[in-house]
Amino acid sequence: MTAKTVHKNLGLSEMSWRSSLGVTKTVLIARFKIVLRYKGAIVFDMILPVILAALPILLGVAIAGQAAAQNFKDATGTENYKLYMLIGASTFIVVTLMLWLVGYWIRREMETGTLESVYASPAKRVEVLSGVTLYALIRSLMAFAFAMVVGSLIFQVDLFQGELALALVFVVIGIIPLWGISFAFGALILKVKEADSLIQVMQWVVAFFMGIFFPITVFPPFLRFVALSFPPTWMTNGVRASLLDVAYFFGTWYFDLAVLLAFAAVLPLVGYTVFLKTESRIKKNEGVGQF
Amino acid sequence: MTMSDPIIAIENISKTFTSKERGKGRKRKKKVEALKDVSLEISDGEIFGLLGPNGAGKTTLIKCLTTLLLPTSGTAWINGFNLQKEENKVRASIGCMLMGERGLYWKLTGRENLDYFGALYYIPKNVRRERIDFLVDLLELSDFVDRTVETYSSGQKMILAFAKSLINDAPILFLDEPTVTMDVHAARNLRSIVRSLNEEGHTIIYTTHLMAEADELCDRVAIIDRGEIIALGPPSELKSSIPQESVVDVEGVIPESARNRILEIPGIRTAVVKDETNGKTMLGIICDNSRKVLPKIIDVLVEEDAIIEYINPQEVTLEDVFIAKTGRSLSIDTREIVTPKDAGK
Amino acid sequence: MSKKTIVEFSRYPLSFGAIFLQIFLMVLMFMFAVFAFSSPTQALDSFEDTSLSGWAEDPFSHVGEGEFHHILTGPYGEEPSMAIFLNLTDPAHGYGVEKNPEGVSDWTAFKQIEVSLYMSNGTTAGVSIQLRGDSALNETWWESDIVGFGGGQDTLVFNITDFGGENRTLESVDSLSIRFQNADNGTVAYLTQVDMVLTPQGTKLAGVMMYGFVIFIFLSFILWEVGFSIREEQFRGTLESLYLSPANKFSNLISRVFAIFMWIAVIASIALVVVSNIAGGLPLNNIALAFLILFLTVSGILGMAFFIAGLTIRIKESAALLVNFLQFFFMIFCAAFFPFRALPSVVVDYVSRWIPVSYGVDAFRSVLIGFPKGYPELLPFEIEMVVVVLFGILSPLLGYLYYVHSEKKARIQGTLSEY
Repeated sequence: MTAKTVHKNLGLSEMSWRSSLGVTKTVLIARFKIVLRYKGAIVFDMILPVILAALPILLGVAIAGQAAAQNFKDATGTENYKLYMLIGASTFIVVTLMLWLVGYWIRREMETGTLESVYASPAKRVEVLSGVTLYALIRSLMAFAFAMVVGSLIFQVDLFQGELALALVFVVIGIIPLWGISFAFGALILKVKEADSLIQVMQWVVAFFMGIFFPITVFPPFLRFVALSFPPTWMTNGVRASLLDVAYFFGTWYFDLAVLLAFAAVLPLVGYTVFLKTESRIKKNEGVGQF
Repeated sequence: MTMSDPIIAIENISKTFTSKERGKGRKRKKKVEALKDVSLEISDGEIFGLLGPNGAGKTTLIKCLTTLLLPTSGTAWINGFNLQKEENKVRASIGCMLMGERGLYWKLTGRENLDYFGALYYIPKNVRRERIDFLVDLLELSDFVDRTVETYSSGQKMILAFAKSLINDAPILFLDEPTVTMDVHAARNLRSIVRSLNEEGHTIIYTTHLMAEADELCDRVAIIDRGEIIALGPPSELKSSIPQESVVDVEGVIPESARNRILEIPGIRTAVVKDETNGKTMLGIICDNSRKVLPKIIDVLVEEDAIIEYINPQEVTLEDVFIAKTGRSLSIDTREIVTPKDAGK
Repeated sequence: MSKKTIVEFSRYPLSFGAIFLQIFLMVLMFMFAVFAFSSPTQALDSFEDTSLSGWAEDPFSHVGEGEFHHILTGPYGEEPSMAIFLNLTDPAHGYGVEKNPEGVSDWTAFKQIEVSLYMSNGTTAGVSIQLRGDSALNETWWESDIVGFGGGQDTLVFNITDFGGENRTLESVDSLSIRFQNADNGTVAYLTQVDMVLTPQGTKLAGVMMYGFVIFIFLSFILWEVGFSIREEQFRGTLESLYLSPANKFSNLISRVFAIFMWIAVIASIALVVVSNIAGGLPLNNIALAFLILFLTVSGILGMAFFIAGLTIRIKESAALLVNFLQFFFMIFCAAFFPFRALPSVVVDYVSRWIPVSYGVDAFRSVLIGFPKGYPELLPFEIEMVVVVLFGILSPLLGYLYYVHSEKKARIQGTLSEY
């Protein structure tokens, strides 16, 4: 195949690994600049888990009084119900942020009209996506860490117990499959008219199943199965088990971590494939920028 | 100007959209052919105008050429690269301004937007900085470039979007209705920049609904209607290609009967309603010789009790070319609009 | 009410369902969390840990008429492993006069607690009853004498006055537990869940949660639909065209609100029925009065929403954040899903008591659950009603005035369609 037109130049474009990194970095920085200009958005991320955790804690104390800790220990294995709730709520914010920031990304760029401009540029999808992913990762880890610290001060619980390093490993590994899920979900919401409502509901369905306030062992078998097929459930329980006297699903930390690793190995691939499929579907049908 | 080698070669591009139509209880697939086997060559160094009413296929064609939409069949070569096989290089070869004032990050400043898109075009950081400074001077952006875009007026957003399309200094530029929300001064400024970019060797593909603008600016124009190119050539050539010598515009209160009788006058080709507001009609009459038929037209109008507010024998414009080819006015929207409500009936 | 608006909502079931589902899932999560705190399973488990395991092959066979009974089951309806029957005896009227303690209004009449237990044959234990006094009065625990208990079904009677003197009545009892002892008087196990029967917890707690939920769902919807929809219209650019149309813009807002009310009413009723089934019945008293309180509270909330709508015209994109924040703010500080006593008293005194919605929540659920001891929690009922009435009337007026004011200001500054 020979070119049927003249070739002049590529303007100022210089394709190199440095400029590829530049794309990722620029996207990352731009995202942070944008969110920082929405007053209070980041602070809300960090405060929300504390508020969420406060509710069941207050409720539990109201119901069980002085027996709260003992009853809770009987039900979950730990009497530290405050930290238990705080971990659940902080993990939840990670899940929510990934859903919104990664899953809703294409849709949001479509709504603002910027997707077309991004797609008309020579930057590779992977480079732009890396920027978006890094942004989501940093923001959700920040929210997680901050919520845990502030929450531990407010509820007066000690974070430095159990195996903190292992807990962090569970958080980091747990985010990887979330990325994949978010993309698959992102593809789904492109087809739905009321995408933001769907995400709103989804985040609470997820919250319900991942057991942010209670052990999933209270579920009947079928619901338990649904909950266990969802990586954030393993992530939450892993963090709890490594910090508190909560049991791992498979008895030991390395089995649970292995399950999470398996999710981490498979789901991003699934997510990325779905993403590419979605992209080509859009380009075939309505075209980038329409929805 | 001399016609040189093509820099864009479009080969038999077709695009069919399928949309689901929801009727009562059943779904049907509806196919719309937005582009029908379009072939076209655009020469290196020309300003090429794409004209046509809304929904004619202009935007579809541009979206295909900018890799935003995959053609159903056919291909194109741009700057020596194949449209489907070398997407990234095609993208690096073109700068585009497609969605007007949309397509900017409203929470970023103008400068941050330019830097962002510069990075997406793989422009090294120092080059990018110089380029942005250059564009700020060229397009007189300095008053607002460091404010967030949400504070801009429509015109300012348009100019920034234009600057964005120039960030890569690409050899080919796609401009889709770039002057639409600009004031007269800014539009004139933009056109002169387009001209000087062209003199520097850039190829420009320009769509507009303003015929005068296309007439003034473009070396060649293609008129698209219902997915097909119905006329192609330099504006002067197109205008002389229609056999009519002249056009008479009549504005006023013109009854239906008068319009019908005008058509019966010998030497009249067509009479098209160009605009109709508040009971007033703008009638475009295409005839062999306006000087000959003008008294007869006036006679008819007087006899039919028409109120004549304005009468003007005109030069042929590109719009008249379109009218002569299609029998319709350019301002008519030819999109096929199907709403669920209609489908149910 | 505009029919169009109702239809419009049915076209966007997701947006509508989203707000509802979110809150419903939240409440459900809290309920599960409550289970984790007070799961009766632990009482049963501790039995199984002792020599007393293997009880109750057929615990239901002894449930007779005229007995108030509480059957311990697992929290999610598993097979019961033992049954306890309690009879509250009023000496003046004889045995079993009040068959349903839920409806008891005068607790002072009860002088005796009758405990019927079923145990499989061959097991014996010492049984004592512990009563826990009113926590607000810092009362301590009282324990009865130990009574021998044979196998099979047996009934023990304890006098209330045995515990804390002649003036002691059941009214001052918060919780009751039964202690089982072995021959050496060492404690074998406690049953602590009996308190769920005697105090306004149990189904009444479910009532507190669900009736709070009803008000909160109104609050949430109104905040989003009235407060936030203005912002959305600003964003979509339809706000400006709405102002250009001759229709009264306010009636547009109102018709929308009425359509929402209708939907909430339907959905909230479904939710109540579902939860009522799960919790084994919700208390339901004086519905007419409850409706009046609901009406006034909702009217007051509407006023708040007008105020927020006015605010969103000004603060633009921070509006979603504000509404989100307010939703959580009210959820906690108006104690929507739990009794006020769950909040630290400082918070109640300095925050909750200053929010009129709190009184609406408190009065509404207190009426429905039949004013059990300790309810209403914030003020005497009559005074709460005064607050609720004032809120219901004044708030819409003030909110509307502010809305009109800020709308006018926006039109002067030309910021109506800016976003």
